[in-house]
Amino acid sequence: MAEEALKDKSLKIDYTPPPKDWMEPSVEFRKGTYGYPGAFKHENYLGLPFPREWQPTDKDWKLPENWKETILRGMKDRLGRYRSFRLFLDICVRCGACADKCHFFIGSGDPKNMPVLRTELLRSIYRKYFTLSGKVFGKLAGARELTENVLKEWFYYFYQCTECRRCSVFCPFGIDTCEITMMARELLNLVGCNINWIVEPASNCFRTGNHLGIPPHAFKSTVDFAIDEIKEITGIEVEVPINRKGAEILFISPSADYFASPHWYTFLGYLLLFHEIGLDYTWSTYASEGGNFGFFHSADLAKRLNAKIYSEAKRLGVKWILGGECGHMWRVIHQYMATFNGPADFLEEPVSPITGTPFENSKSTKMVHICEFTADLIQNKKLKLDPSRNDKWKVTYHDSCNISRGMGLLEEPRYILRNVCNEFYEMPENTIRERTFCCGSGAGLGSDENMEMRLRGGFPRANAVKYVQEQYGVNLLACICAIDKATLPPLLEYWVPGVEVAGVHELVGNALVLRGGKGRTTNLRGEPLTGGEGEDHV
Amino acid sequence: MRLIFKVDLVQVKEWVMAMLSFHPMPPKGVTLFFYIHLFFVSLLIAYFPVSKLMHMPGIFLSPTRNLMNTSRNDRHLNPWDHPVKIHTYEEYEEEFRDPMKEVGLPVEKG
Repeated sequence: MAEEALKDKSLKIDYTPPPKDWMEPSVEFRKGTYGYPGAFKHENYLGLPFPREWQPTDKDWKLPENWKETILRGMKDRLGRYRSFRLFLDICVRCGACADKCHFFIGSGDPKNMPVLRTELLRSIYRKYFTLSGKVFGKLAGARELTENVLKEWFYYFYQCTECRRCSVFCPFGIDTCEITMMARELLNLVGCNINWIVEPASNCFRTGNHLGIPPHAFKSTVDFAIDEIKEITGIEVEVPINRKGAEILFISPSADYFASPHWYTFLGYLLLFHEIGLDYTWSTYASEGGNFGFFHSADLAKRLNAKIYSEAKRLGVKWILGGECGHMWRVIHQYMATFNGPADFLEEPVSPITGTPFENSKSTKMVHICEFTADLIQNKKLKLDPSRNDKWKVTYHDSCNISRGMGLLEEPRYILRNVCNEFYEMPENTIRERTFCCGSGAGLGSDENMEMRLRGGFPRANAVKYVQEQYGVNLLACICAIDKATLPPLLEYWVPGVEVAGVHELVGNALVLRGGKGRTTNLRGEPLTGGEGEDHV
Repeated sequence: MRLIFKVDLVQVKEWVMAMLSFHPMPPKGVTLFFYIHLFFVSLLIAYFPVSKLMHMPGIFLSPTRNLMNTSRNDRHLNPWDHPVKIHTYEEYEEEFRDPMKEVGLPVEKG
């Protein structure tokens, strides 16, 4: 609904600070700027604290009796556990280097969306209850009482941070606002304040293995449908093993890949690639989701969902794990998986079976990113590619936050893109690589009821896309994140009409020349090929 | 002070050296402006321990500054790690065994 309402009037961005002092907690829950709270059913299934029916617009949030003690105890607990949490609360000098780096501040003009002030919402409570100066000097030292209004403010603003970590790149102290947001969300969750677009996917993942709640037999029929579609486009019947024991590699991708669009074409791209190189691999229905919505809830829930990956790898007896195109899935795998659920000593150090390249960078976690894998295939000339099949597209590449800033994967996708398409243009320097702008819908904020905030958060990214559209006529934004693929199309349609979104492996699938394939007349989207003869040579 | 109210730096240096060698003596030929200036410098130094510049060591303590991003190479141990409730494959198969068998997906328990 919010989406349609916005099409008529354009968004206004006002940078005039509000007259009120920031220390006075005030928040207005306007439609389009917040996500609906977690549904009772799903919270209950996961056994989360204080499941209940409530709305942020209600006056009474039905908080538990002792909510204040719960939050303060939780805070004390976390201050002791995480060196980073205490340090980040202590060392900020409010220099403001982060202020205009946040896409939500740029798009909304709300000062409390400056990372520094967003953190201050939590920091002021820390000062009041945990520091001497705050206890003695109170408001003078920037401390304030924990009240229900403060909690409401937390809910509003900490679910308006996508944990993209752009601000931390510019912080002289390296303060990671993402970790502050994670802590604030953990605290909110202690009293049952979370949003449904986090809890429901997490509960679905827990039960069925993927965030859409697709049962195994429906997964199988989706795969069968993909096999038919590939046959229609390329004339080749690919084999897609599911839950096969003894395969060399377990492949895990975000579940949107086999359900949503334009993810679907990336899914076809994977299947074509694996068929062409004859990979000995398997999908799993139990662990059919790499993405981890628990990560936006708490470390514990992230661990509970992530446990499936290693446990399934062990059950199927694979040697190592390959992961598809996803954002926060890779943040969790890269940064947390081995610590959460390792050691993965039942797996072997990953070696590409096609090129023999050892992936030393993942020798502990034993999980390789598909872009690393494909870039290695291209580098060793194992793939025959016809980039002219992507001539319809003038491509730019959007670095997904978690992939670029979180794990430093910057060159591989660009290397692949340069090999599979003829026209590739970079967006301006300060909007790509580790300084990339977020899509504005990550970390569980990608729900439709939150559309106004999403459009505002996506504005800086869209602005950079508009620049390359005007300069070079770019009409395709390639990315390697399932959330990007799901949320950027409506965003670009609003800000930069005429630019579509695709996964890197969709373009690989288009360019891949298959052995024994018939002449291709369409790309994976079923659109007629322009230019190039499009033949699959035997 | 360099151009208009010139200060005799040689005198100032002598005064400072005298203080450093614990033989203080009043400086000669120094105007009131110098004393005002000196007072402000002293204020600044007195303020320093409670100023935000004291946050500076935090730069070296910040985990995002001093840790390597190599967590796929090396496993890091979590000192407060605790077991969590997970949904096992057995529980999963228990729920979906019949439809799985129907579409020909392999199962553990026939």
